[in-house]
Amino acid sequence: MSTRAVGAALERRAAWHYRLRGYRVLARNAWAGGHELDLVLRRGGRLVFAEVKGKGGDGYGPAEAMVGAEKQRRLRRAAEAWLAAHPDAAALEISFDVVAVEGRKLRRLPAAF
Amino acid sequence: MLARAVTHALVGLDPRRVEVEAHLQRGVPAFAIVGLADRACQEAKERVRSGISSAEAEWPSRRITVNLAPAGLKKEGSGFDLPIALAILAASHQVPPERLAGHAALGELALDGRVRPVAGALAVAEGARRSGYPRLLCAADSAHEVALAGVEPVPVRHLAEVVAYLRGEIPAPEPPANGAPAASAQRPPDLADVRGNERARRALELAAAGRHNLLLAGPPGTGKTMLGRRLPGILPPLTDEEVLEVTRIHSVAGLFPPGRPVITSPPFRSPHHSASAPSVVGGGPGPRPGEVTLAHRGVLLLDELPEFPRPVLEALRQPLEDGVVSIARVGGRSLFPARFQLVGTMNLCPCGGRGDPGAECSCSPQRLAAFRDKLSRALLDRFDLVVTVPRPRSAELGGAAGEASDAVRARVVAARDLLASAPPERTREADDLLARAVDRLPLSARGRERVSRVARSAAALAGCERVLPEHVAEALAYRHPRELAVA
Repeated sequence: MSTRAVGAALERRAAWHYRLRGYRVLARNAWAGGHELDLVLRRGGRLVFAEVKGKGGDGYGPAEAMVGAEKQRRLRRAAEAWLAAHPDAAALEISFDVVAVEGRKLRRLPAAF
Repeated sequence: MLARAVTHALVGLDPRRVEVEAHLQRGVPAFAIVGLADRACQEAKERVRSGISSAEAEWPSRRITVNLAPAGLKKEGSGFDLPIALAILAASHQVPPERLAGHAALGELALDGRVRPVAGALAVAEGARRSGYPRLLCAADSAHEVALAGVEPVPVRHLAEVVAYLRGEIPAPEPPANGAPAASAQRPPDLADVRGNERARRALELAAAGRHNLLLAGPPGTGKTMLGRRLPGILPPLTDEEVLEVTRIHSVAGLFPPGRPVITSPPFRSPHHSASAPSVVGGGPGPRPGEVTLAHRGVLLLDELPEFPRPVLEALRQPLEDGVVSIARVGGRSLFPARFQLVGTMNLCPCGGRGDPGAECSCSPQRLAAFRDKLSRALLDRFDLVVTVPRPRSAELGGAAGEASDAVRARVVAARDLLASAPPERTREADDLLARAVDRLPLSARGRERVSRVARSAAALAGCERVLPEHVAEALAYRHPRELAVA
């Protein structure tokens, strides 16, 4: 499997995780502000931008540690751009989730930053 | 959603009212602090965020903007943590904003939400009183300082406690009982340790009675420093007003010994001679008090006076004369009180042999002249009392212990009372003697003024209602010691 296919599989899994909890997927791999938003989800008045991270072997710490300060800054910029393109979503309460997939386990960090 | 908390920033020793405004907007979650906040203040972001989570309150997932107004005033330090946290909690309606409005707040937050004390709580509390806030939310350890300023402290240990109190779920927490102002824990060294040296002891007593500056000169090992260190022990305790002044200064400098939030005895400072001019007179970008201000209403001992850099010594001239230091910086000007008593010690020559009958001075005339040059006439003129301390004889050293500090202090207190209520006037004979001295010695106008003040102290110590010629004669004897004359 190519890295891209692995990534797509992880995002599908994460999307199903959210769907089962009542979220609607508004966008997948949306490009905005020069950066990619893995998943954009909505449930009621909540809008969630989710960053999905997978990890193979051990070492380098947990998957969620991969979302550093620079990555957060980029995600914020992308989210701003996405909101600018979707004015109807601007009134929602916004949060950023990080979804870490390690092997068969999936961990969600709600409002990670 | 906008909410406001009030605190005070310190400019020098002056509190300035600062409004902490928190604005929550919809949008991508972010947290920004604006309003000329320094690094420690910017880092409040991380402390406030984890403090709020630890207090089991909710961190609003909004675009949060905190403004510290007035925006032109530089904000320094960590005391803004608590007001920032409270403004955010009020803006998100987790505490009632109208309850918060009756309180000023001050404190640093720990990552686990505990409230830590910050320096300068007394000055901030005075600011709160002046701008009409009857209650100040502060760390439990600051409560006694705050109470001193006449503001009701609301001592809190944890952010969760503040939230519960503001919601009206718990009554105002009681201040901790153990932090009550304890009597001065550490007694200054006692004058009973000094044997012999009657002349120097007398000069010390005079200095204490009249707040005179004292220069002790003599060969090494004769007890000059030992004598100087014993001056605070014979000074009367501070008055209530002075306690407040001195405590405010030490609070701003963050110099409280643990568990002793109030300073009741005259402070004593003795900076090393490697001290820089800003550290002695005060300075820094946001001016901070220096040693002369920390010695306000107390004693500044400069051990080995000629070893101090000349700029430091010359910088002392203004505070010695005016009792205040005015520090001007690009950002503004601060006035610090500096009404201290200066005690200097020095050898009579670089090698230390001069003035000692048992030793030969090996200094060349040039070295001696260079040594003398370090002390300007202008500075020497400001010492009311100059005493040479000779090497004590073995009989003196083996003799009985000297008079204890308590007995001397009783006399000093009586003399100060007399000087304050009915300062003694010179008799005609004393006037004549002083007039002759002005022509004969030569005595400058300032010198004459100083001699007459020392004479008045001598009269007060003796309990006389008039200044007699003998008092003037004694004062003159401390003016021009032979050993300090240029050879």
